[in-house]
Amino acid sequence: MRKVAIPKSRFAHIGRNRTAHMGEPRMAKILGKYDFPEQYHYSEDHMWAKIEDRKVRIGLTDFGQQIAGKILMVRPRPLGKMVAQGRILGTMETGKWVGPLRSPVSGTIVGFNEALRAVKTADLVNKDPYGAGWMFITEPTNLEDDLRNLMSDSGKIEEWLKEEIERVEAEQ
Amino acid sequence: MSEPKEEVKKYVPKVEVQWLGKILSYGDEDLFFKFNHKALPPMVMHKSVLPYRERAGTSRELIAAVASECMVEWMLMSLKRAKIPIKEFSTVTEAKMGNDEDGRAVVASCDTVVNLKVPDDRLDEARAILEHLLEVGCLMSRSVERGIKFSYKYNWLHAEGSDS
Repeated sequence: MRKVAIPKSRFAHIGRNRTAHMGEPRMAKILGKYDFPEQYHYSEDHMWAKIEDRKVRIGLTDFGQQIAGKILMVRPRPLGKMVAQGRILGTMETGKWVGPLRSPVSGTIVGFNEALRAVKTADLVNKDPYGAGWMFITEPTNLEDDLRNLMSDSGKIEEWLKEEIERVEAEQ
Repeated sequence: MSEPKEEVKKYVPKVEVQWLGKILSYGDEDLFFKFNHKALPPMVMHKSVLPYRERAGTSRELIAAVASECMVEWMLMSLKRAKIPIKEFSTVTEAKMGNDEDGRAVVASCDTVVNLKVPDDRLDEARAILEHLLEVGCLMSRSVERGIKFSYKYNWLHAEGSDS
């Protein structure tokens, strides 16, 4: 069996289970190495969505941050902008590329984690992807329908992640 | 028994320049460039075929190439990784001259125009990526704007037939 060639994040061991803004969620460890906390919803674009009252907090998954490597900066689209599911919330910069951050749910951007704008602190996404490294807050406009397109079951996530790892391997 | 590991040499950017003035068929301003990168073939700068008034400007052309190449690489890498199909892509960079405080000529700016065609439904995404890239700059634009320290030292080569 071929060895999985996902680059190991320098931060993969740091900050596990730190989710200061929402208490301690139960972690599901997928394929033995990627954190996918329960009660979160996950998109195939490697984003997570966590429903908080009438808003949705959004970030990059542990797997997403591991394949991206060190995050240098996150640049949001303007607050107040309406973004449809799968469309661009902002962009993130690594050492080698700038990539889109696609929204897991439709909604209006009402919050952004300003710490991610600075190179010195943007690696919070690597250190604590589900906690201090959160990215956006949106006011959802079509939540019920959008959630049907997201994953929250660990079995389904694992199945998808295996395919995703194969895809990433093939691209390398 | 494990196979011996192939030694990986650390890549060091390095350019060797040789004057071709002594070689028949070349002139006194012709130069040979040898790069230390497999993607860059050797280059001969053949100025001597030109009238004197047309020889200036090669360094400016090269800095314009540097300004565009680095950013273009980063743009293409980012668009490719985002799986945005590129229909057309080209850039034009112009190096504009100015003067420093003492009145000496300097390259004052490198202005690049990017021509990009992507499918309409991916335009927003491409625009967001490019805006980010242009805001933070590339390795070369950041380095030049911050200021690269240039240093030169010389070796006196012993001239054949000289007294010293």
